[in-house]
Amino acid sequence: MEKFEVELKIVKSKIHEEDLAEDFRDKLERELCEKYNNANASKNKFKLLRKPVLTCKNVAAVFVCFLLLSGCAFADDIEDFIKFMFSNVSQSAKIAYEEGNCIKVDSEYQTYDNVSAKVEYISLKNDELYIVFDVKTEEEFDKIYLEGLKLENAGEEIEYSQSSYDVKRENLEKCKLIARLSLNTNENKDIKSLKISFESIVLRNGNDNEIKKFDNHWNFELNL
Amino acid sequence: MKFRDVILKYYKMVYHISLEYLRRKEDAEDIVQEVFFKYAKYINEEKKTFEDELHEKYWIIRITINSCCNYLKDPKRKKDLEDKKDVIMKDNLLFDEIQKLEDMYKSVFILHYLEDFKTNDIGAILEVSEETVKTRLKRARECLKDGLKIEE
Repeated sequence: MEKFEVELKIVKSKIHEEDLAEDFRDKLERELCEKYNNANASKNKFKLLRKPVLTCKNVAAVFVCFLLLSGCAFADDIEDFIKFMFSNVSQSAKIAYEEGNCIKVDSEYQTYDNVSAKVEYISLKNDELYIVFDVKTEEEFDKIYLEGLKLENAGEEIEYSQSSYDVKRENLEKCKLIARLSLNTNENKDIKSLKISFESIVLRNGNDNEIKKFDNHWNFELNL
Repeated sequence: MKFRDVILKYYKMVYHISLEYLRRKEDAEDIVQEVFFKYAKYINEEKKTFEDELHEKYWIIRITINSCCNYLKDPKRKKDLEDKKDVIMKDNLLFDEIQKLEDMYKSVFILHYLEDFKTNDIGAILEVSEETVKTRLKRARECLKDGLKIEE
């Protein structure tokens, strides 16, 4: 039975490492969307989801208000952070900072086994939301990501269509994990409080493809 | 949700299920293309809609599985897979055994063990009862353990 489980784990992790080649994905998106749009002149046929979702515009507005209210206390701090964090990650994150849509949150650390995490910054530009986590662990890993990530605004789910993760190491035991989420922007909604929850922090070690999951039902509630 | 968003949201899942079925990247890419083409057709030409997001997701998975099964009906493609031409994880015994499963066992096994769907969700996706899913899973495990010569 043990051998079966181990083999299963290997197959699963190898498959889930695979992704479509970028050029194929671009082509697929472009060509199929073109076909779809040509066939579909009417714009309102595609209302499959009725759940209200957050608009980036409103999130941005709230973030700007937050910054206005809280003054410039974090300005230098955030500038250093942006230089450190996003220099190679995203141009839009830099723009988010320049336009004032980046805030320092600094929640309390939560710990499970020997992994601790806290939310440190949130940044938003257009439909891209970045959440920066500070993660401390003595575990060895070369890839880290979250599973089951959910965002809620005052009890209502904020929907996103895609997520990706980037990591910047500070030292052997500390790193910044950047979650990049493409938000859906269907309806207007004001953000009141942001709840970030996820089932597990996953650490993967590339040498032997070992995966360790830290299932703590992590939950960060932020009042913005 | 816009069509582009639907693609972005589900392409990875469709690609992974297709890879688990077909083992060849090229074939899985064909399936991804086919599934989203069918989706566009379903919405545009057949003027169908989905009740909610879950309904949409299950529909996409069902179409992916059906497309994979149909793809394997082509004898040339089947032979390529048997010859392990360009397949991923060539030397993985379990993956070899999964490919040998009958379609009805293979689909439940893949969805449950490789894609983490619960048995009641698989029932909804494949439009069979949860009991049927459990029975098929049990049978799939037995077949695989026999193939791998693992004792209970």
